[in-house]
Amino acid sequence: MKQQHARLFSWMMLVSLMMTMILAACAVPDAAPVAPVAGDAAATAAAPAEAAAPASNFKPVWYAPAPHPYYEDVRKGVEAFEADTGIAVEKQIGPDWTQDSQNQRMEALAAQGFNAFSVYPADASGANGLYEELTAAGANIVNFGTSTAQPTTASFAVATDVKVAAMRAAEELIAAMGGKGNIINVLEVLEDPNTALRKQGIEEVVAKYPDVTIIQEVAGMTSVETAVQKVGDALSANIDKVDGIIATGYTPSVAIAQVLSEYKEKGGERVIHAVGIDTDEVVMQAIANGVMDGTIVQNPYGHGYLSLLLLQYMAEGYKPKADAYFVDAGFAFATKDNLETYSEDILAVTEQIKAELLDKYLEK
Amino acid sequence: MLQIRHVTKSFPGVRALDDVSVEFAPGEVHAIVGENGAGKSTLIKIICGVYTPDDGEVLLNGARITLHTYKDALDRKINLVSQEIQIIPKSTVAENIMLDKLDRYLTHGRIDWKRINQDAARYATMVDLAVPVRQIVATLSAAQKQLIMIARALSSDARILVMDEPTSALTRHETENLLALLRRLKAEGVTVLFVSHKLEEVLAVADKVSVLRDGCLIGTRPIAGLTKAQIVQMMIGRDARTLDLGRLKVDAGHVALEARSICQAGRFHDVSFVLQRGEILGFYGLVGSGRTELAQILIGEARKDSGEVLINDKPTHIHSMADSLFKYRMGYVSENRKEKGLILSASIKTNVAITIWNRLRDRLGSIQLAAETTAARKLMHALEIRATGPSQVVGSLSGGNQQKVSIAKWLAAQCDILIIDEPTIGVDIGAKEYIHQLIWNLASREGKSIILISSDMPEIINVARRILVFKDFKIVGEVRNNGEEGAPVRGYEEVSQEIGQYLA
Amino acid sequence: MAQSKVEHSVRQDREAGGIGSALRSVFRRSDTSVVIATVILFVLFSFSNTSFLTPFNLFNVSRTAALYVFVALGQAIVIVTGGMNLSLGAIGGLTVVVAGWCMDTMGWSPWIGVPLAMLTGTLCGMFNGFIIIKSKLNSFIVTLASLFIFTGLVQGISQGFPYSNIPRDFTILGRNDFLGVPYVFLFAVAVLTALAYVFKFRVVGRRILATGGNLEAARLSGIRTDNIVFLSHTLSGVFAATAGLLWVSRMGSAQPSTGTDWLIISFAVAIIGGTALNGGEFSALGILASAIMLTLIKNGLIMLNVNVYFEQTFLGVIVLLAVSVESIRVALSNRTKRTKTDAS
Ligand SMILES: Nc1ncnc2c1ncn2[C@@H]1O[C@H](COP(=O)(O)OP(=O)(O)OP(=O)(O)O)[C@@H](O)[C@H]1O
Ligand SMILES: [Mg+2]
Repeated sequence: MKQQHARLFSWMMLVSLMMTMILAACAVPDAAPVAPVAGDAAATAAAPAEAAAPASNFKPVWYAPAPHPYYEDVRKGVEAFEADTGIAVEKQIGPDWTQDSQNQRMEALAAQGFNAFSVYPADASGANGLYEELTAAGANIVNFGTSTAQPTTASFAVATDVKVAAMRAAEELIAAMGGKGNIINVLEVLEDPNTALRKQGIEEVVAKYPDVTIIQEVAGMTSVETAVQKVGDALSANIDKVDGIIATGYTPSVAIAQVLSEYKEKGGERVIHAVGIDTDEVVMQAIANGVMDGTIVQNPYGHGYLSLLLLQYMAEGYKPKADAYFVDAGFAFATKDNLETYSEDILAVTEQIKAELLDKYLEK
Repeated sequence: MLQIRHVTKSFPGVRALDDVSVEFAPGEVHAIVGENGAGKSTLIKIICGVYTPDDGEVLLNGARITLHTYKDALDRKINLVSQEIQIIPKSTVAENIMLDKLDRYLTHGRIDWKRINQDAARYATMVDLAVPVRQIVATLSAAQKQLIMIARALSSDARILVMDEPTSALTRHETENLLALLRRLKAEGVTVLFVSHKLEEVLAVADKVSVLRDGCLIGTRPIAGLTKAQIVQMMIGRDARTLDLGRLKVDAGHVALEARSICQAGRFHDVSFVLQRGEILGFYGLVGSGRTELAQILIGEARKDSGEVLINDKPTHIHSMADSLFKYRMGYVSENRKEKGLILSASIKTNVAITIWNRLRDRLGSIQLAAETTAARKLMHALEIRATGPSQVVGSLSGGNQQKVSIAKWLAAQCDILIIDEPTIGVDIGAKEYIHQLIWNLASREGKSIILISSDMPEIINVARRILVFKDFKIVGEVRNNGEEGAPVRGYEEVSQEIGQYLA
Repeated sequence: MAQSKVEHSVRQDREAGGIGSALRSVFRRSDTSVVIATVILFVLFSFSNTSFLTPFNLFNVSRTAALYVFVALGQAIVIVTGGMNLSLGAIGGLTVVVAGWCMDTMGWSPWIGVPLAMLTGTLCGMFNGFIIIKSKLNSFIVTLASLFIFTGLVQGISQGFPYSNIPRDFTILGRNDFLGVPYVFLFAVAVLTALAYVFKFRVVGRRILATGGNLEAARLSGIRTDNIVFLSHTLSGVFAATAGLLWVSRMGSAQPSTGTDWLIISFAVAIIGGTALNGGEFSALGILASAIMLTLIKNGLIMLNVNVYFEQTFLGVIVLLAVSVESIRVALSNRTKRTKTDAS
C-alpha cells in the first residue's frame, strides 16, 4: 500500500517537473522578444557601427552575492543611475557567498535576455568561468567592489584601489600616533588576494617611519565572532606596548570598534589609536565617541553608479580603451571632525570620475 | 593441522584464556564447550585473527602463523561464523552471502550480479534458507540471518571452518540440517570447530570435545564413550541437576490478558487467546510463524488493524512499550538482545535499571546511585552474571552474560505480565536451568503471568504449562501440559508428539 | 561500493586491537585527554608569554570559552541522542536578529526582546524536532533544510544590517565580571554543572543517554524516544538562542552574521570534549575543557605571533596532539611494559 503511494507520488512529481520545464521553455522567448543568447551575439557582430543602439537592447542587471550593508549603499548609486537615465535595472541579491549560487542565478538572468551585468564576484577567480560564458554570448560585464583575477573577460572593475586605501589608513594612523609606536595589523580573509595587497601597502608605509613597528599581525576572520576574539587576543597579548591598531577589512573594523569600546568602558588606561574601513554603525559610533580615530570611506555609491554608466556606454557602442580596466572609484577618510560632511566629499569624487569616464576609459 | 600452544589472553580485569593448548586435525569436528564467559569466543577469535594472543602461538601445518586481522585468516582459508550476527541489513541475501568475495565476480571491472545470485542461491539451499536471494535482509528473523552467515562461511570453501554458537538461533529442523552439512564437510577433510551450549548437538556431531572453564582448558576428549553428564561435570565441576518443575497452580478464575480477534493485514486473521493469572503460557512454532510478531502487537510496537487486547478484563490502549510498561505493567524480553534488548555501549547498571529509574528516585527526584548499583548487584548475583562489576560495559561481556543482563532488566521491572522471547539463546547449561527456575518462580511464587516464546522444545515443555502452537500466523493448536489436578504432569515424549502433530 | 562493504564487514569482525580501535578509544574517552592537554597548554603558555597571565587576557579567554560552551552544548545535546543539528548557527543568527529587531528597530526593553528571542530559538528547535519525529527522516536532512529556512529568515529580516542600538544594560552579562571571572563563564559553569547533574541523577538525562546509546532498545525499555528526540532538539534551540544572546550582550550590537561559523566549532568542542559521535555519552567537564583548550590554542597562537598564513596548520597540529595525549600515554606505558617483560 505505502509503496504504491510512494511510487504514485514520485510519478506525479516527475510529471509536474516536466510540465514546469516545458512551461518555462515557452515562457522565456515570451519574456524576451530578442532571442536571448545567440541572437544578441549576432546583433553585435552584424551591426557594430550602428550608432546608439535602441535602448531596448540594453538590459542591465546589478548583482550582489548576499545581503550586506555595503550592497545597500551600492544599491543607492544604482537607483540614482535609474533616476538619472530612466533605464530600469534588474537588482538582485543572492542567498550566499558561493560562486555556485552566483553562477546559477546569473545564468538564469542571461537566459531571460539580460545582457549587461554589474557584478560583485563571489569568488575572484571562480567568477571568470561564468564571465567567459556570458561574454561569449555577447553580454558585457563590469565588476564592482572588487576585481576578478586576471585575465578576465570583464571589461572593467570599479572599485577602491585597496593598496592606496591601506596606505592612506596607515598614514592616518601613524599621524594620530604622533609618528612613533607599535602597531597591530588586523587582516581579514587570507583567501582574498587583496589582503596581500593591503598588507604590502601598510608595510610600505610603516617602513618609512623608523620609530614605528608592526608588533603583531592577526588574520583569518570570516565572522564577527572570530574577529572579536582574535582582536581581543592580539590586544591582550600586547596590552603593555600597543599604540595603534589598524584594520583594512570590514569585519575586523567592527571587531576593533567593539573591543576598544569595551576596553575604554571598563577603564582601560592605555591610549590606543585605531583606524578601520567602511561605515558600519558600530564603527561610526566608535569614531563619534573618540574610541577610534577614523575610517576609510569607500565609494559604494560610485561603485553602483559608475559600473552601470560604463555598461550603458558599452551598450551604445563604446569599447574599453586598450589598457583601461581598473576604474579607481576613490575613497574618503572620515574622522570625528567630518562626520557630517564625508558623504558629500565622496559624492563629489563620484561626480569627478563621472565627468572623466568617457575620455579616460572608453573609445568608439 | 591447526595447533594452539600455550595461548594466554587477558582483558582489563579478566584472564579470558590461560595457557590453553589444543590441536585440531583435518576431517575432524571439534567441539568447544564451557560456561558463559569461559573463554570460548576468545579462543576462536584468536584463531581467526580478531584478537592477538598476549602469549603463546598458533601453528598451521607445523608453521607458526601470526594473524593480525580476520583477512589474514581468510587468506589461510580459515573461516568464521561468529556468535554475534554480522550482516549488512540494507543489502540483499545474496550480497550478504557473497560479501567477502565479490571481487571474484568481477568481469571486466563489472560485478556479475547474475552469477552472484545464482551461486548465492546454491549456498542458501545448502543451509536450508528458504528466502529469495534478492530479498533485503533487514526484516529477516534472527535464524534466517544466522543461516546467511553460515552460507557465507561455506561459500568460501574454507579448510578450517570455525562456528561460534551457530545453532543458538536455529530451530530443530534447521539445526539437524546444519549438522548433516557438517558431517559432509568433515568427509571432505574440512576441520570444523564448533562451539555450542547444546550438548546433544555436540554428542551427535563432534569427534572430539574440548572443555574450557574460567579460561583454562580442562581437557580434550574423544566423544566416543562420553556421556552428556560427563561433559557437564567437566564444564561446571559438578553434576547437573535434573529440573522437574512439577505442577503449576494457576489462578484459573482470573484472566490476566485476553486477545480478542486480532487482525493485521497480510498476517494475522482473527487470532484470540487467553492468559490466566499466574500461568506460564508457551508460544511454540517454527521461526517466522508469527510468535514475536504477535508479541509486538501486544506491547504496542506493531499496529493491529482490528481486535482487542484486554488486561484484567479491561480494554487497553497500548501504543508503545512505554504504555505497556507504565500503564499496564507488561514487559517484554526481546529475542534480539544486541539490536533491541541492550545498550551495548552502556554499563550493566544502566541496562538493568533502565526501566526502574523512576522508582529509584529520592524525595527530590534524583536517582540514588547506590540504590541503582545495589539493584544491579543483586540481579547480577542472582543470575550469576560474570563481569568485573556493575559498571562493566555490556558490550564487552560474553554472549551468554549479555543475554542474562537483558533478562535481568525485566526482572528488575517487576511487571505483572511478562512476555519472554527466547530467553536462553546462547546461555550455558547451568544458567539455563537457573533461568527456567526463575521464570517458574515468577509465576508460581509471585503470581506473575508469563508468555514464554521459545523454539527450544525441551525448554517450552519443561517450563510452560499450556502451549499454543503457531504456524503461518495462526494458532493451530493448544497443548495442555499441566496434567489433571492431583496427577503428575504429562511426560516429555507425549507432549512433544502432540505438538508435532499440530505442526505436521 | 562492493569493496567498501567488504571492508566494513571485516572491520566489524575486528572487535579490538589495531589502529582502528586505538582511534576509536581516542574518540570515546577523550575527556580525560582534553583535561590533561588543557592543563599542559595552560602551563606552557604561561611560561612562554608574559601577557598570557594578565587579568585582561584571562578574562578574554574564559569569556570566549564560555560562549563556545553554549555553542557546543547546542550540538552536544542532539549528538547525545544520536542526531545532529546543522541549523544550530542559523538558529543562533535568527535569535540575534530577533533580539536586535526588538531592541533596536522596535526600541523595546530587553525584558521583552530577550524572552522573544529565546522563544524564537526554542521554537526553531521544536520545529526541527517535530519534523524529525513526524517524518522519521534523518536529523541531517531535516536540519540541513531548516538551515536554509532559518538563514533565509535571518537575511530577509535583517537585510544584512547589524542592529547597533542595544541598551547598555543588556551588555552587563556579556562584559562584566565577578572578581575577574566573567559572568558568562560563571553562567556556563553553572549550566554545565546542572547538565552533569541531570545526566547523572535525573531520569530525563538518563533517558536521553539511553536513547542515544540504542534508540530501539531504549524504546523497548519503555522510553518514549520520540519525546526524547523532540526534547533534545528543543534544548538545542534553547542553547543556540542562549549563545546568540550572549554574543549580543558581549558585542553590544546584534550582528546578523552571528552563527555562520558555529557548525565546526560546535562539533569540534563537543566531540573533542568526549561526546560520543554516535550518541549515548556526554561529559560536561570534557566540554568545558575542550572549549577552554580550543580558545587557549587560538589565543596562544596569537600570543606567540605565529605566521598568520600558517596559523590553521598549527591549530590543527596542536589539536591533534592534544586529543592524542591519552593514547600516547597508553602507548608509551604499553611499550615500557613490553620491554620489561621481554627483559625478564
Ligand atoms: N573485548 C573484551 N573486553 C573485555 N572483556 C572481554 C572482552 N571480550 C571478552 N571479555 C571477557 O572475557 C571473558 C571470556 O569471554 P568469551 O566471550 O570468550 O566467553 P564465552 O566462553 O564465549 O562465553 P559465552 O558462552 O557467553 O559466549 C568474559 O569474562 C568476558 O567478559
Ligand atoms: Mg561466546
